[in-house]
Amino acid sequence: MHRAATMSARSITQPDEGPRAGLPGDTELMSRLADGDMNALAQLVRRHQRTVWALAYRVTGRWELADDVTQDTFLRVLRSAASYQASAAFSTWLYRIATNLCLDALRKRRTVAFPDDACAAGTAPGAAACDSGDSMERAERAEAVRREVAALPERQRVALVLHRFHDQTHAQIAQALECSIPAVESLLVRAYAQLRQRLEPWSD
Amino acid sequence: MCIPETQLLRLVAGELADDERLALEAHLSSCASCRAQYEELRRSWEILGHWPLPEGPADLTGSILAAAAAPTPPDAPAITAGTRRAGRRPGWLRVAAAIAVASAVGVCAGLAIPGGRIGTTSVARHVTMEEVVWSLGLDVLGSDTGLTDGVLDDGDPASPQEDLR
Repeated sequence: MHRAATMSARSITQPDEGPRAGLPGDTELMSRLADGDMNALAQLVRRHQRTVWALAYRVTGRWELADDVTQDTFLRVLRSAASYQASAAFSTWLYRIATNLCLDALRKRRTVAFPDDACAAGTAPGAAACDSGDSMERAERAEAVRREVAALPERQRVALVLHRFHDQTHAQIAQALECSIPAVESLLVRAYAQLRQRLEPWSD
Repeated sequence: MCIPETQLLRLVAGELADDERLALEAHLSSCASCRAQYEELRRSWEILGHWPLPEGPADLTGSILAAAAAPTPPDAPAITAGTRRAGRRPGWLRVAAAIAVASAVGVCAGLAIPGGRIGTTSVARHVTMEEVVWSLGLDVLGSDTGLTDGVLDDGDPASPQEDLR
């Protein structure tokens, strides 16, 4: 049963690069995957799917697209395992893949009206639970935020989501978007400026 | 404003080292203009936190591993977003789909579809080439048929020049 989770903190749990108690790190798993160990892929998926799905959902605004982007991200990880360079942080590499796939998904859907949030509209799995416990005002504010982020140009939207919800620095966002740091800063300044203006009525 | 907005963004996001943060906060305490800008950024930052994230699907591991194990035809296109979760369309279906899309484009061009649903939104609007391609599942074909060329172009229409490296 799905339920809405209030995100009071800056971001969800970040990908853990290093080994946890008794568990191999991402680099070790990628090495195993390059050798054909599919259990390594399973471990990478379980460790990072939530992060990737969260990025894809906030950027595309569609549950099913988020599922597709998440799956395609890890399929690409699999297909690129042999050429993965450990010199690059796995999370950075993963974000780059997921970001590119998010942008691909957005461009393919460019002329389709951006749908209302499936959760709020009651068509996402477990959507009925979205209203439970939420005041009308919180729900309306959440919808306003979702709508205004969705109205941002694609690259601004991606940069903002990476910055606000995924703890990515300007340099990391530049790597994910494969552009310069000044370009990222320009994207962020414009994104926050637009949101500042449009969400002013909702600020405390 | 004395401080670049990007630096204020770093302050709001907690990205500054302690010495940088302290120096910036000292400036804000005496500069009304910068402090106002900082407060606006901080409000935007906070209100974004009021967008809850659904818990999402329980676990996609099974479907991902199944897709990874599915045989890939030698002429299959590179993975792009929207690839179906398992398997690919056979070659004969591509030809049939190519014929179908050519007919569908002729039928759908300029037609309004009242009450049509896209996701959860009911709209009365004109059908676009992209929607025809997408609805027939031809997006996975990429440019193999040649019929999607120019339809699924890359590029951000809002600022095609600004975000280049």
